[in-house]
Amino acid sequence: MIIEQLMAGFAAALDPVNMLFMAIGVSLGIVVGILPGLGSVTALSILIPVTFYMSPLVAIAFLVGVNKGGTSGGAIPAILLNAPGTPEAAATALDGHPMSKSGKPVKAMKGALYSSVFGDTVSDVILILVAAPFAAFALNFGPAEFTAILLFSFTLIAGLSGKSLAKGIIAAALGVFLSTIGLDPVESTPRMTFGFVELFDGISLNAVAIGALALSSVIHQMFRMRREKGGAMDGLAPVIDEQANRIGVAEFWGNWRTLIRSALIGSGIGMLPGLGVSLAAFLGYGAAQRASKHPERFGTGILEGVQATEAANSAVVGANLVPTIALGIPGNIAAALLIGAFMIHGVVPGPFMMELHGDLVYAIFASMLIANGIHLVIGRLGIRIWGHITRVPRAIILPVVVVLCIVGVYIPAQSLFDVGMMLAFAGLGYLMRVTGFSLVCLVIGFLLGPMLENSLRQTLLMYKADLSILVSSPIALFFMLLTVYSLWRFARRR
Amino acid sequence: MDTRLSRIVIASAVCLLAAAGLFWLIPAQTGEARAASDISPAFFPNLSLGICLLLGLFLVREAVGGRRKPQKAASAEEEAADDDTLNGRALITDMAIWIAGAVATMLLLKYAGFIPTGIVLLAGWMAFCGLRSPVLIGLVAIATPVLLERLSWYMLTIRLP
Repeated sequence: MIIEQLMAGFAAALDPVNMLFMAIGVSLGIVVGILPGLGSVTALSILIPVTFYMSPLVAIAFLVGVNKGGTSGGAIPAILLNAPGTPEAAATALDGHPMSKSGKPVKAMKGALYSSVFGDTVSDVILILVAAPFAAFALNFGPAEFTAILLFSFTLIAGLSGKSLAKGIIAAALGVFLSTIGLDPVESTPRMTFGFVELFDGISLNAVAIGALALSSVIHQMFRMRREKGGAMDGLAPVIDEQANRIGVAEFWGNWRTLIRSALIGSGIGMLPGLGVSLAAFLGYGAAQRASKHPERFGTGILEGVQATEAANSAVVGANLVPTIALGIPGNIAAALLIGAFMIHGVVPGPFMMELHGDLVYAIFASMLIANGIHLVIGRLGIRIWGHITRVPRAIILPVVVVLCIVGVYIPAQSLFDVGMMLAFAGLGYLMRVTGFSLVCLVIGFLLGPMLENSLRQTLLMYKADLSILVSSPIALFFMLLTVYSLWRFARRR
Repeated sequence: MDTRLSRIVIASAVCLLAAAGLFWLIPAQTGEARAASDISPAFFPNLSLGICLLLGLFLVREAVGGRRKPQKAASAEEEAADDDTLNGRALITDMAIWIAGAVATMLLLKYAGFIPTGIVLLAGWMAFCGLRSPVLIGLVAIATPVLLERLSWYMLTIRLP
């Protein structure tokens, strides 16, 4: 039955106009994803009005293409410049940039692209096969279960904190503290806002992530160039050896366990509303590191690190449509924007969508699978272009990235305040970087802090401050046991 | 940057900042919970800075004890901390340059607009990085902000400041 419907979907999706718009969508997504601060969410919100005059299938396929391209595009500046365009690409930079520095930028970009397409395809297949039953299962996740998942996610810090666990935890705690600035989620009273209305919504994630991760790396490189008094005309990577930048089939699939694990983690995270792409990327990386026989090699420039991250973050793209299509609940902001696009075109996502618009839904599924092929071709062509960036002198490319960061942070909210915050976080990030505090842990704390606070406070209110729910719900108990096991394994390894 | 003195200074700075947050910033800037079953709005900020203070004290003890073996960077992210060209004075100079640059950027963005700011910023940073070709500096410094401003307007209909 599914096969028949999917075949009919492919017949509709293989229309040349549909394919052309998917290709345009993927290309635009990649270009926007490359610019620091502008991820797929910004691209989707800007491009939705463009779809007004398209048919529903072409419009959704175009936007799905934008989302796919935008999610993988952020990896390119992360690999080439250690300046992740999006928070989720920060994990890609951990191994991608060292690969670039050792003369393998093309290999890292190829690895990121292929893993991204793999993760995306796995999550699309999961979406097609199990959309309805999994969406129903996801409804069992309440605040207590989310609290347990988030507590487990905090164990990531142990693996990512580097040589000083204490500094890693301090960085993460600082991230949590910064995330509490703004209106209290329950009481709505201001917290540490100093009367600035701009801070009522909290500090912008873009300002923190782009400032602390991307811009601080760029200013560190510029100050170092100044101190070393040389290398202004050097490119970003040493001479690129064609042979060293090839990825063989055996080399790529040698890490098949990591690819599948990350794709499943990304799909699982994508199906649970509210957890987001960045968490999937870090969880995928952390899980690969934990499972590896050589965890010490992670962070030094290995292909497996790039594969783990990219397969996980791209797998969120398809899977977040599971609750969207089956229940009408958006998995993340990108899915919420897609719901808006569905409704503009007269399609209401939810339990009746499959029944009322089955043909369209399967045509969208088919379009998503085709878009992965298009993504592979366009991304592969793009790598040739991005490869040339490594030849541009560092003294030109680094200052240009500073200006791109300003533009990238200004555009989404059109706020100079956010630009100022980004510049401040770049300074803080630089200080933390040179004093050995992990910026990745800071961003993880900033991302997970509000989620943990919300779910814990909802749990306390719902269960009248009885926290035994965290061990009496089977799903929560599973994640609590996983947390204890992770901590025990980490303590044993140290 | 990884000397005994630098470790003591860094750990003390963490303790000082965390203590200032815990004993001044949070009490002065956070309200109380209304529901009896809810935790206070100050709970998470206090918890996070409390952890910072405790671990800061641990770092002070570790630094003063001086028993820590020098370790190589475990990942590329940590390489910046092993930068031999950087010392305390250089770090203060770098921070002063960055703060002055950031303030100038914000003032220029507010009062002169994006294109003049972009030109000044690009030319300044390129010269700072050691580029000595006036033609190249001029070309990149003028073309990049103009191109970005036009692209932002024509593609996204967003006016840069």
